[in-house]
Amino acid sequence: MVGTIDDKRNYYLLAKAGAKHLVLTYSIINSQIVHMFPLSAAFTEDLIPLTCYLDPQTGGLVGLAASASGTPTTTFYMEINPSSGAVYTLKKLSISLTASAFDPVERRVYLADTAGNLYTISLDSHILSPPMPFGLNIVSLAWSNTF
Amino acid sequence: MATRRQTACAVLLLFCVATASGTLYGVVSAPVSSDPSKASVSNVQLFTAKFDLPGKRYANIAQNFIKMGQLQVPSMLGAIDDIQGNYFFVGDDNVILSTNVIIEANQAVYDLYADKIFSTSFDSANKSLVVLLQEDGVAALAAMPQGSFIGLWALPPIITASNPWSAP
Repeated sequence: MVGTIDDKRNYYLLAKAGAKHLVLTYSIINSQIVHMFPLSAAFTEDLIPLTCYLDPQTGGLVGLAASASGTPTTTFYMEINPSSGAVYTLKKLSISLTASAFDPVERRVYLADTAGNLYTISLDSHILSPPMPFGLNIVSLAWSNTF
Repeated sequence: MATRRQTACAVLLLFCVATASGTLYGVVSAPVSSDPSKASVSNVQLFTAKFDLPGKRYANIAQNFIKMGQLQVPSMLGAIDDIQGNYFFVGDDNVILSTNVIIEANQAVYDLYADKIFSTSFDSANKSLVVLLQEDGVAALAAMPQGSFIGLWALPPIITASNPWSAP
């Protein structure tokens, strides 16, 4: 499971209960689940959830997950409505993800793969950019809008 | 012609926004020596880098605490404190490390004694790093304001600490 927080101390989780994949909103202030919905998408293979980001413009949750099998490893990109569980975007990216970061202003996700490339994917177009080769093994990424 | 001029303006605007909106940081590993015969775990250094996009360049801003070895899963986690400039990431044995991107130096190591760390996020409203973790089989959230540990909240049991999303 993975999660992220908003500015009202609501924590959003992509988790699992039994056989169902869920999106949950948990209020840290009230220590209770605010929303809990099964994801509308039926995944045909096992996934490993990697990370998620909150899109401040739409309130949607951007999730990244890896295929648990297959070569090369596929990365699943999904956009989820945390107030309904609806998966309104689901894309397969043919990259083996090692790290990611989210720029909430430009609304783009940065992705790094095992070959030392960086990519971007826009939340508007959902088009994966060509690889930007850095030649390093990138194991973590983070975006700062300030520094 | 009017269409061409409008297109050029749009491209210029996008470029300006892209360069002004922020900075991408990362933890990267690179071999200490280019000699393939010396390739080993101990021949790898880890450092925090600042990426110049789309210039395909990076700057090494701090050697990390772990100068050899490998970051273990979930190594891809990372979050930046947009107030003080601390970049938090997860190292071996689920310890949280931080590099300050302003002074370009390592700051601290925090051990939450977690069995597993799933996510790290920065809570701007409370100036805290919020960590989703598993401890003694229970999923919990930990808050670390100013890098010091203050609280751990166990999540409701329905939130199982399952990973991956495989069928039961």
